[in-house]
Amino acid sequence: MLTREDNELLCRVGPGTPMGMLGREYWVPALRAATLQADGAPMRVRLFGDNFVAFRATDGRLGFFDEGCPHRCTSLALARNEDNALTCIFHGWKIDVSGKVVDVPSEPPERRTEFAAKVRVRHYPVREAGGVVWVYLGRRQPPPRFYDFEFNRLPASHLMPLRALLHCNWLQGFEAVLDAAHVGILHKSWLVQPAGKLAGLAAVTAPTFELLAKPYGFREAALRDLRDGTCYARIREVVLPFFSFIPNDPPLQSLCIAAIPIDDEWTAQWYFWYDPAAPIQPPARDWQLSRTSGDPDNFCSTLGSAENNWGQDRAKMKDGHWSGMWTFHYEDFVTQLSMGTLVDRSREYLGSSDSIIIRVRRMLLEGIRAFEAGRAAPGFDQEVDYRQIRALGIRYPREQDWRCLGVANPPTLPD
Amino acid sequence: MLTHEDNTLLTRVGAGTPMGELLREYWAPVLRADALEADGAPVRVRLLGENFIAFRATDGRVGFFDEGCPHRCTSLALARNEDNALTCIFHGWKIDVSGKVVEVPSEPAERRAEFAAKVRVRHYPVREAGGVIWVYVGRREQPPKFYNFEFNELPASHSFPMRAVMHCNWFQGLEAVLDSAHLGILHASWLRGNATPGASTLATANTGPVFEVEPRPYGFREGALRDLFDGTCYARIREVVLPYYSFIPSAVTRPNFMICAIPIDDEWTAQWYFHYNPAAPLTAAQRAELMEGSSGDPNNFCSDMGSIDNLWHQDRKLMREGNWTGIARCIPFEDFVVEESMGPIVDRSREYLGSSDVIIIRARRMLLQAVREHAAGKVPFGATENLDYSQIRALAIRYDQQLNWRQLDPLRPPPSLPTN
Amino acid sequence: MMTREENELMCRVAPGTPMGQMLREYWAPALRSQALEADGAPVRVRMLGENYIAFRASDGRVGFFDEGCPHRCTSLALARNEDNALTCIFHGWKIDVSGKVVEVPSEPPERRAEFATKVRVRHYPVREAGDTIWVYLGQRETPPKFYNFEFNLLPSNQLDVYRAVMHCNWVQGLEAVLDSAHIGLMHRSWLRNFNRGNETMANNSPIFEVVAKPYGFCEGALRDLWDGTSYARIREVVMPYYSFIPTDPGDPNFMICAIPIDDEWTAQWYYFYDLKQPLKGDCLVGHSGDKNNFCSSMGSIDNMWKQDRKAMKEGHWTGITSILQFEDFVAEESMGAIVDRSREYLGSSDSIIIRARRMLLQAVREYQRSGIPPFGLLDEVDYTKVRALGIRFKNDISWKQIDTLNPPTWVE
Repeated sequence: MLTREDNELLCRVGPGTPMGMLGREYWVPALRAATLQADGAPMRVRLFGDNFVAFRATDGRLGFFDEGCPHRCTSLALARNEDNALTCIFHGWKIDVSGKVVDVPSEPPERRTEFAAKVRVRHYPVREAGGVVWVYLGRRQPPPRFYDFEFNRLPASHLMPLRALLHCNWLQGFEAVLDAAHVGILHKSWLVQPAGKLAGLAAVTAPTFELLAKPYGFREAALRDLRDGTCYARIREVVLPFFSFIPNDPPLQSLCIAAIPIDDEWTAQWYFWYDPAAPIQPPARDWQLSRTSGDPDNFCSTLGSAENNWGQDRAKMKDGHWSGMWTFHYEDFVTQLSMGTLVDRSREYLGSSDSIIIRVRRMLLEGIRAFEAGRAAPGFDQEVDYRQIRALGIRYPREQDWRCLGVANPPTLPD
Repeated sequence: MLTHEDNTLLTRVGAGTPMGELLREYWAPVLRADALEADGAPVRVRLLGENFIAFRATDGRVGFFDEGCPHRCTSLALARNEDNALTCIFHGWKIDVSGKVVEVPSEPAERRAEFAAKVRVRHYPVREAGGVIWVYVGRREQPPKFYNFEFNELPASHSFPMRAVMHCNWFQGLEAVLDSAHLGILHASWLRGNATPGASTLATANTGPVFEVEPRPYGFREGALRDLFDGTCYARIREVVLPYYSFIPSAVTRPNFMICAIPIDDEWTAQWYFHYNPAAPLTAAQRAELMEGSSGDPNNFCSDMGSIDNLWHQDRKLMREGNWTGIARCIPFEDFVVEESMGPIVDRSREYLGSSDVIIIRARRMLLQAVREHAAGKVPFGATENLDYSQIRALAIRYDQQLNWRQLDPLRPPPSLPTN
Repeated sequence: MMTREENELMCRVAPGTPMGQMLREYWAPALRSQALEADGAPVRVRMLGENYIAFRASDGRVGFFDEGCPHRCTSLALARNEDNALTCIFHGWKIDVSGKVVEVPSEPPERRAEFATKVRVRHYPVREAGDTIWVYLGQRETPPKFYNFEFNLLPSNQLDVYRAVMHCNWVQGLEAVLDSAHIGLMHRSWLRNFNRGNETMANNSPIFEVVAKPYGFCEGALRDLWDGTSYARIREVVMPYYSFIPTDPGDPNFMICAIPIDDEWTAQWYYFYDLKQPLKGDCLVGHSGDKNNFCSSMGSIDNMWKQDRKAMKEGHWTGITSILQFEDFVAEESMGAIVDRSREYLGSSDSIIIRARRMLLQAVREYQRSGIPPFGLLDEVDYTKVRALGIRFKNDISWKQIDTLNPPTWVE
């Protein structure tokens, strides 16, 4: 349970807010690279309560600017995209992809060069990786080191980035992922077809949690005793403030979920599906998409709203389906959206199953306050090797310690 | 005419507002009983600016909770409804229909019972009567005595409750009903064109009635008296149980009739129409007639009425041909349209009231006074007294001018003189 | 570029704001004459953040009232319109077109006459001219002298009047018109298509000169051409609203004004008129088809106002292909409902806009101080002398010497 004041501090992300200012200091995904064609339409992007445009120049480079033309704020989403530049349709001001104004036809010819040099265009560093365009909106010069997560270093064939636009605050999106206790309850109808190892999961539904602090956030294990005497650890990695690596078992791919603030009431919930070992084949791609609206830029567009209870099917529930929602992802979304666009956390009653959420809130509040006071926020100024970060679901003998197990050091099991 | 300050005091009804805190102390209807099925989907209810959930348990009892699960506020509209309880789909917290948490599967097994006992669920007393679910959302330990209105003690076959969702503040809903002067004007085309001649046609014979009021512990009794200039008088005697309930006189051949305006929030109102016959069940034909011209949905019988953007489909051609308002679907729509068209919260500082508005002026004064009394710790309008509401009934009657309307007993009236 | 505070002072027009109070003192167009039929449906009109009703009485006179009935505020859009009066459907209160209450059937018969005389109906002076219903919403007993603009003296067949409802603040509407630098740049595809304005496009950065006038200013946008002549577009701006745009001889005259609906919506009026003879057909084509809102088919930011990228690749400059005027509306709407002017970077091409903003800020501050509406409102101004002109002339005279009502002959 949070006071109103703390809730506001964590949730408000618009210009000038503490969390907004902190959040901008991290690289964030903005849109899927495939939505930008060289010399194609620029795309509007909203992040942290501000509006931007992204575009791909003639030679393939990317540009990311404030949406309003530096002249008189006409939207650059309308601009002509050619000659490695955006040309505003209003007065023809031309801004090359690096953010420099190169032509101002509305000024007298003899003054154009000098004038153009003085115009400051708010433009932002971008990176293209993992099929996604990332941007840094903060104030540091140079920008922080880019996230070289595993999936940002794989070829496109190994990747499947999807985005859902959720009508709720970012923290609800983030907590949806942090909360591990719900998995065996909310999603129980989907877990019915176990792949061997998962069969034991439904037996013990109240896991114990252990946490290992890291410079970028933490590593957390949800530990469950299985009926056969072994332990099952679902080890996640949390890279604050936005990224969670979720452990999955094959045939499911690896997954990183990020809750990126669009504004106070909307969140871009990114699902980065990836396979380090092999390309993701069409049947697997189709299967993932089939459990969504089918639109990779908003895969929850068929979710519905409060008016129709998000399409919940009561007849299915009577037949034994737990939640009545037609897909796993929608189950997660609906529990968060139905709390309201910005949930009043003063009305909660938390239990031991919420310890990670409680802890993360505290870490975020500390991070915000540290940042406001001029100190470093999580992950800054640290030499973090993001390539080593991968979530795991592992079964191991009770004698071993999960903290020592990982990608480099897998468990040894009798069977 | 009211100052901005008084208008705000009368109209703002959210949690923490003076009027909101007063109004929650009264039992209010929220749903038709048939909107809830045993083990069926819970239904969202918005009342006084807050969101709730209503559901019918396996054994028929009704539960009424805050909409958000006590755990982390996920909507209980999504919850499973079985075993006389709601089970939240998120972490399986199970809340029985009496408001007690009975299962918390997300907690370690050995701690569940103790933990569950400590969780407080905001749940509210409900009563089911006359085909309607009523609720008390006040702050007191004990709710006031439930309203034993006539219709609350009748079998369901004798009643037909309907609800319309109006896009305006509750006080406009209340004033729509208190204002009887408009009857012979706004509804003139209906009354004149009425196939079955009813007493109401007399309202058009004299459009400027005289109002007299008798105070009552629960509100007041009002006579709208029309001198018919032939030695007789036509009186429409209504009973008003504040803050919400107006009993409207109807013709002898028609069911009895009560309207109340229940605040959904500052800008929306549930206008309930309770039709009932103490003497006999309502027939299918009567029910059909009551719904005629409406949307056909008794849970929102004005859902297709239109809005200001299309002027509620007002038909100017019909008006030229003689229809007064051009709102030709049904009488209640005429009432709803004039109130909605004032705006979601009308600015009463822009009014100019006349003698036809005395009842409205009085009601405003009574409610402003009530808010002040409530701030001082009282619950006005007899809520804490043991009042008997079963004797309350409205009456329309034409009588010899020698009689005094105040001495007429609405449950045992003298025979009315001819009214057509 | 302006501070946030200055922007708010200039833009906010709702009741109680300084700019709103000042702007109410000026006659403004409310609706097109054709929108009202004698004894027809009253029409809701929103201006300066308030709601009104306009109607045409049986004998043709026009009434303009607050939207709410003086009794209990029921909308008079629903009222019966007959007998030169509006009769509210609620209690039958009847208000004649002059604003007097003449019937109150809900009162006892013996008190009606006396009661009716005491009811005050908020009604406003109207004038019908230039195919338009004009209204004065200010506080003065006697409204200021009505604008005797040339077009207000013309018969209907010499007029073609349009209105567009833009989703942006009124100052964006005004600036769309004051900014002449964009014409040869933004509208280039249209100008090429119609073989128009070659002079404008030959030189994209004109020199601006301004002559102050009691009612605002007169601006010359001067372009040095290739042969020792100059081209001057002389516009007249009657503040706070009215811009007379120069056109070529042979084309209809042209005035645009941006009238505030509220803080985020503007009625952009286009007046085409021929001083000598009836107009032949519509002056604008390709719009929505509804002259009361000719941009209702334009789209919105959600569909990028239907911008056609394919057409752009094939050579169309803006991709807004329905009608030239939509290009203006789109550029302004896309800035946002109230643009944040603290984020601008202005150039010399914006000098008129900068000047106009300064004039507006000065005017509203002065009005707050003195209560006297600026821009010559209370002076005896003869607006029949106000006319714009586009003219090419030999460089041996100054444009300021040109009398737009009697210009020198067009140079070939």
